[in-house]
Amino acid sequence: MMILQAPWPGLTTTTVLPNPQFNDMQARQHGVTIKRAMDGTRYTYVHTTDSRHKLTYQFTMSRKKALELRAFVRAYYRSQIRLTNHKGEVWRVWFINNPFEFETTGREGPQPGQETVSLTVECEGFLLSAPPVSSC
Amino acid sequence: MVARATRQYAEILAAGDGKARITRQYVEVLSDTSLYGSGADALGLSDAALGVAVPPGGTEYERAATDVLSLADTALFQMIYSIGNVLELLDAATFNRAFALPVTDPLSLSQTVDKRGPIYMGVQHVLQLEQPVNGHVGTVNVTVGDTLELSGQAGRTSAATAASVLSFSDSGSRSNVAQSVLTLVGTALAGKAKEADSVLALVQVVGLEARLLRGLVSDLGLVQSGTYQLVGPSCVTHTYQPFVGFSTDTTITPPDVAAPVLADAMLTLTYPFVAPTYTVVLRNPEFSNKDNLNFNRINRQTRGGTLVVYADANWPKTQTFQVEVQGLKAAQVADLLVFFGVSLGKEVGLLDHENRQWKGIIMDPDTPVNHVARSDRTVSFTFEGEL
Repeated sequence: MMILQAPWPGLTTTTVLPNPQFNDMQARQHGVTIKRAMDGTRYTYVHTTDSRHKLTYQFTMSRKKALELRAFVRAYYRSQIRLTNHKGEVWRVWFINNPFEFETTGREGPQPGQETVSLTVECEGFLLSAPPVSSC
Repeated sequence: MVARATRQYAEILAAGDGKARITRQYVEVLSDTSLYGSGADALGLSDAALGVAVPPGGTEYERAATDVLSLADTALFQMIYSIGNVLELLDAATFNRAFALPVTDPLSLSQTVDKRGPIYMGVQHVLQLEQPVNGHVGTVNVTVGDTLELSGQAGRTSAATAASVLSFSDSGSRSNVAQSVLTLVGTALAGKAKEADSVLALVQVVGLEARLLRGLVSDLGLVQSGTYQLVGPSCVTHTYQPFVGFSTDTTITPPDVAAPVLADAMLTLTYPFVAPTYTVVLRNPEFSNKDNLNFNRINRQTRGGTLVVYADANWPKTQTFQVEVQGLKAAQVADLLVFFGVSLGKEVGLLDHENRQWKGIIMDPDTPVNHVARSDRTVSFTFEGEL
């Protein structure tokens, strides 16, 4: 499961989310620009950042949990967040997606609210701790 | 007045035979006044020391022009009488070079009133000193000073007052210093009880330009907070269950612990929001309805690559509700189009399918209504407002 805690560092609220869908992403924020001279020499101009990563998760959750996440976002959209993902990594991130789009995707009886809500969350921040990397 | 020369002395200088020349001459004048008359001596002395043109590199000899004059007036009456000496001294030294030449007027005033009976008398000296130094060329040290000693003494054995009124007015230009030194000494010589007072009143006025109040703030910004998480129940990932701890930071309001109450309802549009006169009831929207939260935030990277995210709590936060409704009848569509027209740009009410009441405006009143099949019409619109 995914745990969101805010505000950083004075953590007050904890929200537990289900694990995200596949196709979650993690990327560095570096950039490079390649220029080539007339004689074929290649020049690269890099745009480095600090050790910041961009994380993207897509959640499918019940309507009640979506309402909880909605209230969480409304309260802490301008704060740093402590995020513990499904891999056990602990991150210090900001929400960066705008807007937050809660889309009702379908009906699902066993879940509270009887509806399923989909939401994509984009975060950007720093890795605080991580478990050992598995070999597989 | 009739002046009569009583004595006269003359010094005659003669060089052998020939002409004699009077070098000095003394004349004594005796003046007498009759009853209620006045005695006055008017004498004008004018001495001039003529200078000699000094050749370049030569020496200018010292010359002096001095007038010594003594005036003594005596009134012998025992009635009301007055004595006054009016004396003007004017010395001028004109020079072309920056030699320090003194211009000095020594002046002594003495007035004596003898008491003849129990009457009130007054002794007063009015003296005005003015020493301007003008016309110098170049940078020279100039000293201008007034030294004045006033002594008032009242010799009566009854109530008497000795007062010295002194006013200083100094002004200096450039780097000179304007300074007034004042010393007051009061002495009472009477045999009876008498106080000697020296009253000096100093008034200093400072114009108040502004009053700035500065508060002392020693706030380290320390807050205490705590959170928790219940581990165990698997439904924690499905139900509305935020774990809200405590915090002394009052700038952020945590989410509500209680879940919002949802119920079944029909999608209903009303206008005006208060005391509505137009009401349109539609079917509930299809899936894929969207509930958007939009915040104004600064999300920038610095030159060094640091991410800066900032948002003020008072900056606007907008919520939009996007729905699509299918299977509408012709009457519903007609009512809906009329509703779009009358509520154009106005606040309307929207009761969604979860029985939540919204207040806001319809963002796209020009949205088309598609007639997709027999008795099947579809419309989608976006609503911006707040719960």
